[in-house]
Amino acid sequence: MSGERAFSRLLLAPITLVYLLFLIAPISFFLAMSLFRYDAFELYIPTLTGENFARLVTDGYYRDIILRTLKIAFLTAAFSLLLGYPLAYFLARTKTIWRGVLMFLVIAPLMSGVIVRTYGWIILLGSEGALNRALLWTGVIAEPLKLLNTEGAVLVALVHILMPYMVFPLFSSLASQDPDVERAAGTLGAGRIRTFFEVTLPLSKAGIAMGSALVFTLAAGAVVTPALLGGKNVQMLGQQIYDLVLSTLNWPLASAIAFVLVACQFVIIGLYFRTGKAKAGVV
Amino acid sequence: MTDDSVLELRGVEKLYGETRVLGPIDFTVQKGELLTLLGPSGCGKTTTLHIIAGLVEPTVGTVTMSGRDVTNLEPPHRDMGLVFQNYALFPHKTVFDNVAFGLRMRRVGREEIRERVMRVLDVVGLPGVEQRQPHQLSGGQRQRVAVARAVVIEPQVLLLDEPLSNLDALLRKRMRLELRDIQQRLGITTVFVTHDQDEAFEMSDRVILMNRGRIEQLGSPEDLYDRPESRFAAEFIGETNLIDGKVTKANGTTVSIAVTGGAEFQAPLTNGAGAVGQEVYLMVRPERVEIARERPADAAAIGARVTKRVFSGDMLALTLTSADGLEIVSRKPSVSRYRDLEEGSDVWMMLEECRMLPRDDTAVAR
Repeated sequence: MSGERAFSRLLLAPITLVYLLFLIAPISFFLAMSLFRYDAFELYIPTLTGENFARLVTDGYYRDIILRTLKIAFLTAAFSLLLGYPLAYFLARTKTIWRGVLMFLVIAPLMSGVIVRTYGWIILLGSEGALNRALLWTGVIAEPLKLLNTEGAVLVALVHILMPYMVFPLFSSLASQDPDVERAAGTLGAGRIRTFFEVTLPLSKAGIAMGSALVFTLAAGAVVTPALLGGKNVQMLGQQIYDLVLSTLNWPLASAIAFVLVACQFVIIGLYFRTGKAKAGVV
Repeated sequence: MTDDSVLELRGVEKLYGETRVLGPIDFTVQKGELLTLLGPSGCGKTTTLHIIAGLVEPTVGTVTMSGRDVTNLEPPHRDMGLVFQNYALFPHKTVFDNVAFGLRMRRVGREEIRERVMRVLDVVGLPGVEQRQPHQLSGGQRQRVAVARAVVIEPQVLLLDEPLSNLDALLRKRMRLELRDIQQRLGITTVFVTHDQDEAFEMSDRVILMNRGRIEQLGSPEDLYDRPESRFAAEFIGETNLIDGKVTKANGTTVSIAVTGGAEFQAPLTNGAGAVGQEVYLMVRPERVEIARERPADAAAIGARVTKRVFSGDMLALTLTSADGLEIVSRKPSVSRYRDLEEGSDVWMMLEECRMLPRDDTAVAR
């Protein structure tokens, strides 16, 4: 028994080491860095200060970026949920060949890189892009619409790219429901819509929480997609950190932003585990 | 259709593609009775129940409830309560909300819901648990909640799909009597599905024995046990001795059947079989094989030797073999007059209440 436990601990050793070196250590590092003073020549001076965080709140530029990031991440999660739920529901309930086909289509985007998919959206949304041409050709518009470099473009692309992270948790929670529970609601007099809102939806709470938490955290941390589709108009936290670290070389401020981002994500994950715990007892 | 029939199935069949899984079957359920669909797995009993509940659509045939054709009605519009094998309670709702669900769907007022839920929980013997979650209940309690949830809406017909199969043996025996008691107290017309013969016999007014999608035999438990009409019925229900025999005489109501070694036995004529010279089975229940130490006056007694003795506490199973090789099992209570029978003891056996069964029949797959 104790040998078995020792063995399972031994198996955990490599991943523990990886986490310590590449997660805990960097987080501790930038947490410390976020409290240091910025210096144009020395990069940073290790004296404790709250000025980096103060700047995030007082400087309208950074405040806007933080709020925009949270807004886009929230909307991405919301739209992914609205669009992904029907798909996941269909996948979980159908027994036809569509299950395999659609499942493949959901997974397929994960097999190409995020940059490839983002460029795909540039081709679609550019002023010479497919969408504008189609609209011009049909005469719906006279001038090409400005679709790129908008929040909308970033949102649409993020919803598309992150959809699998929403669909799979939803699918697994819907597929694991006992079909007799829905049938029971039917025999007790509930129609299909009542059954959905009374039984199916509440029982998929864990999947909703998991999918939303995943999509929110991934969207809030996105770098490439907002940079390519949003440009300078749609600045998000991920790019700011990137710019501050590599161009401006203001590491303390970059660390403070990173800290805000990580804190938001931890709050979301914390919320997920609270709903998860409430669910866990229910079996 | 008589005035008292609440539910009627007529010519009901279910085919999946070319494969017929059920039917055609016909039966009616009388008001207030408990009718059991009994049979091995895959015999079509659960499909039949699902057709009654509206969860499965029959390929052909009609389901009628109190004179109304409900064949094409969705489950919410049928007046039935169904208890699932795994109970299918709503895991996210309290016991109260589980039981209240059907009443809420029927837009019953809050006060009345409260009152009826409390009353039904009392009937099923579960007062005081209404605020618990299903996962906090034992298997037996969940089962009662499932019954309460199904009967609180006062359905015309209560359907029970193997509701006892997930309980441990002791609880299952107790719940049988309790379910029967609840059913009789509420006077609710019930269709019960089980593969367990004891359950079927102890609970039912009438039993439908099913096999390969068809009704094998329909009758009271006594009918099925005492007067099986096929080898399947004889073997599926209880234990039985089946002996190869041949009809030697037939006189209207009874026949004589000769078995190995030439001994002849009388049996009543059954469903058409029984022409002189026909190969048949002679059937006798083990507890109806009498044993005597001394040669009895009965001329039909056959000399035999105990070749096997199995003691199971309250009962003794004795295999008796005659000089001609006729082998018959006798089951006797383990009281002193039988207990001192040993393997090798010489005895006389008398076969009572013999039945004749036709040969053209399949054996029961156990």
